[in-house]
Amino acid sequence: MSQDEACLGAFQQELEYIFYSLRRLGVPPFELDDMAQNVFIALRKAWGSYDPSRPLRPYLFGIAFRVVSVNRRRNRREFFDEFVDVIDESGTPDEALQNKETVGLLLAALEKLPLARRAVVVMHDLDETPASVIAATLGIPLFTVYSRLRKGRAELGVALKRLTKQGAGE
Amino acid sequence: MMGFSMSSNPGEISSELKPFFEVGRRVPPLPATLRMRALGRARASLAEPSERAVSAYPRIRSFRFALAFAVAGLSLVALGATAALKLRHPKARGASSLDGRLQRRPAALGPSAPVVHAPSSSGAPAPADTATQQGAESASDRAEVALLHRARAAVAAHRFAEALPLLAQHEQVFAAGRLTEEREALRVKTLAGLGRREAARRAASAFAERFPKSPLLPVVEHVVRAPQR
Repeated sequence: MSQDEACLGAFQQELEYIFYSLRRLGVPPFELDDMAQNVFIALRKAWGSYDPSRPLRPYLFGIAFRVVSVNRRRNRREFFDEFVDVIDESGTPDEALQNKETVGLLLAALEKLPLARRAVVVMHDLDETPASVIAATLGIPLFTVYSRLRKGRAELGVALKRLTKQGAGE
Repeated sequence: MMGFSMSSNPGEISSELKPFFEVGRRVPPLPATLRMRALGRARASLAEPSERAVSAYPRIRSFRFALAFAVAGLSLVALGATAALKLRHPKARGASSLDGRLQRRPAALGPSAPVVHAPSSSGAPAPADTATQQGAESASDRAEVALLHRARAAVAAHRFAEALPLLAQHEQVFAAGRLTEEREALRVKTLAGLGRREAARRAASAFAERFPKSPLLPVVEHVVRAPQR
């Protein structure tokens, strides 16, 4: 199997995860297609350096994070926040609706966090990636992982409170 | 998954955050169309050298594609003429002339939309599911992706007036292209962004009719429902 095929295989296997990670990193549904392709292009470039004995998801997240960071720097703008989500339509209607609301709130709250802290919170608290792996993936000291996590969680709590209040007030 | 040790961990996750994290941890499935499209595009990019997978200026491989690019060239000439006209009539600001063209277009977005310039069309309507034609990756596909990518970037940066001519160009060159669905969704967004609410609404209902199962449909509907900024 060629490198390209192996890379495409990994991309295919973790496509859901890649899309959802991009969403968590603040990419609006409308741009998911493009960004997923950018992730694939970056993944293909970096594939030679991937060590198959390491877990794939943190590696993919690291690539997604870099792709999103570069895109943000280039555009110097906030992503749209007006789009509804198109990727969480599973489950029974009631459950799906409730989950959709919860996930929608979580994603909206995550958007309030600076990207660097958001990435750490997502990796640690949502993907349950060990702090040492986060440090290695993002190229930051372990101490920074913890400080970003602590601060990020606090900010997320405040953002969620604000958003749920807004929702209840309207 | 590996846990983290309490001593180095910056405290427990608070009880307010816990329920959000529990739901947020589940990776939702991807609609089949989105999945196929993403894989189709990834495969298409494999045809390119790894440095730059989507080239803005793909090589022209055959007469068919040469024709497509000739049409694109012609539409650029038309754009130039439009721009010249605008210079003569300073009142016509932004992309208003194109706007006019596009405003008339939503009526033609239905399944029987006349396909004028597409080299690959034989009068058949564009397929509703753009992902079903994966496999035949070609320079044309990449050119199509590149063109729509520019339109997307313009829309994403709120440069809606810039997006309109790109969408028009895409429609002319790739009338039966694989990204028709995305283009029409972008059109809705662009018209809404330009404040052309009525045109956006018409484009949205044409979209719903043409692509009833599109994963982009909720987005499209949301755009026209959202209050004007």
